[in-house]
Amino acid sequence: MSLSLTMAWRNIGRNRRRSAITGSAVAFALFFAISLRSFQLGIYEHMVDTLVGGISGYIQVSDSAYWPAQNIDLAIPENPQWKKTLENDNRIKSVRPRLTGFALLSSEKESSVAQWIGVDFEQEDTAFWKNRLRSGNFNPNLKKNIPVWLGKRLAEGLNVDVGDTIVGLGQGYQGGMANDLLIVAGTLALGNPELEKRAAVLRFNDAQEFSGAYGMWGSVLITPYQKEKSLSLSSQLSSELKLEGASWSSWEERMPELKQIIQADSAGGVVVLFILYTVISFGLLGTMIMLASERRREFTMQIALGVKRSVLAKVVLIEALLVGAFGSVFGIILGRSLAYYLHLNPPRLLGDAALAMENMGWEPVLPPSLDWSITFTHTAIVICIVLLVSLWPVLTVYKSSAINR
Amino acid sequence: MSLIRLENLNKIYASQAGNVHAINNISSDFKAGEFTSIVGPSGCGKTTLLNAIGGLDKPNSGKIWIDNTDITSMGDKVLIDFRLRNIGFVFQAYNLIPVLTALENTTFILELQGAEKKVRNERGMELLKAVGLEDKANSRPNQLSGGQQQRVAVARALASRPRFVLADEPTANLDSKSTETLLDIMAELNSKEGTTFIFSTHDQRVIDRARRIICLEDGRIK
Ligand SMILES: Nc1ncnc2c1ncn2[C@@H]1O[C@H](COP(=O)(O)OP(=O)(O)OP(=O)(O)O)[C@@H](O)[C@H]1O
Ligand SMILES: [Mg+2]
Repeated sequence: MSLSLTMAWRNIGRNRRRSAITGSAVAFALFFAISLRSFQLGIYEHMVDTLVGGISGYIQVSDSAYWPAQNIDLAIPENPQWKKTLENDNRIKSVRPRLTGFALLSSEKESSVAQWIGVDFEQEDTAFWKNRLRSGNFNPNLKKNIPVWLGKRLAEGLNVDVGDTIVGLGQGYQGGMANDLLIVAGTLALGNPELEKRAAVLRFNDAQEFSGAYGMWGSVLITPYQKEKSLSLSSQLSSELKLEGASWSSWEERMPELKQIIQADSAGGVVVLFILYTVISFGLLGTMIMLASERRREFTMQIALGVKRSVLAKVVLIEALLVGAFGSVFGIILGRSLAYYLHLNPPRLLGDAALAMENMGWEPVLPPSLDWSITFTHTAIVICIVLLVSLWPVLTVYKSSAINR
Repeated sequence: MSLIRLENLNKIYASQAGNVHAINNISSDFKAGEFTSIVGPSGCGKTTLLNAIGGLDKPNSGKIWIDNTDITSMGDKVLIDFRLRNIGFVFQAYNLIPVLTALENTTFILELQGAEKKVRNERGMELLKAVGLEDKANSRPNQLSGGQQQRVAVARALASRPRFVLADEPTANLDSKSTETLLDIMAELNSKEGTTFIFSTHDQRVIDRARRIICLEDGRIK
């Protein structure tokens, strides 16, 4: 071990109480920041997952004029080769084609305009659909007829339930007619009242048959592993993996309002953390001022002996960094343990809030995010603060002379 | 040829009560191998003179030649390095680095000079033995008595074989027995290793041991 490191290390033990206070302040700040941010960002992830993940996709590939009108005439030809390449890409979690269009649905007594959505259940996240099923099931025993899963409010509007037959009538692909008998196989809560009023989910093949758009995709939804990188990944993939006649968009481009809501809310958390960090910084500065005054005589003595001021500064900085690193390790372990525990056992909302969320097809739980970037960001911030406040003893070193005055 | 030459040295402290002429036009010579004591009543300028010779403080005028180099014209950074390589210091108190052991304190200067560990430790142990503390090599300063700490400081000052050693009242905080021991050690190292010692004191027993005595009064050599 070098002399500076030895001295820095042993200096930590000199005033244990002060070192402990410094370390715990760092640990507390980091614990608090990681917990708070994990919670906050976790809620956003949950929200985006509900509103975006299953419906319009983190990344969507479709005709450039397709979104938001979702006109079936703008469907693109299936390209299994391209899909395979995407599926084999290690950045990509799932690739799900969708086909959608509009139709008039009529039960015995009521009629309603609906948007039918063709979904390939085998390619989908089964949990996503299971969580949203309110009645019925996904394996109906039907030979001839086409099963349909209706949005909760749509089913209510049509006054139908599982097992009832409805008539679908609408515009098919390229001027064709789409009409068929549909059997209600289930009802869905889709996390968006508007969607619940109009969504009618069909199996993908049934949707092609219903509309006559054989061999066509309306759009392809892509879920990346790093969901927060959707925007950059979308533009990156669009040049790497061109699909004839189609363009790429990420959810941020399609739903800028949602992005704005999240940013505005997130800013609130940032303000809280800014206050926390300011308070902690002054606390840490206090311990550093203490350290500097404890060592003043020693600095003078060493400068007299011929020790370079830069060496003395280095010793102080190493000491501060070591204490900061210890505190950080503790803070990270505590913060991440809490986040991990709550991720596995997410707190459930109770009462009206829970009901409201549940009605929107949104599981009333608040699972914290486990994103490591939260940990990295705040560890970096805390270490920067430690370095910043260590400037006090460093300045003391540079102001010290070779004799006591 | 002299090791240290002082030329018309002056140091004036400005204070509210008026200027204090702490060193008043001193010129003198010190030869290699000297064992010299600077004596005089409190406030006569001993510390001021030693600080100037050691390059710890700048005189207002005059020159200090060490081996034909004028240290009064050196910049602060150059001077720090000059001290490291040429001068050994023993202060009145608070000499040692609390987190280092007696041996590590003894070899501290050598390590900063870049000496190898084996060489360092051999020399360090040699000097700890010379000051009678080889069994305390691994003790920290707070486990040593005041006299033992001063002996470690002497060992450190000598370990790097500096051109000369400056000691400002090295025995001021010691009892008569420790004072005796420390002086024996300094005198022995002076004759055995030829180390030049310049020390200040107002202790008669210490003055008696010096081979050359410089008497100061009101900043002048008497
Ligand atoms: N920093 C300072 N500011 C003003 N005056 C000073 C300062 N340091 C020393 N003096 C004055 O300079 C004179 C010489 O002081 P110095 O410390 O050299 O004396 P000394 O011989 O070492 O005394 P002692 O035996 O008490 O240590 C004294 O009159 C002292 O008051
Ligand atoms: Mg003095």
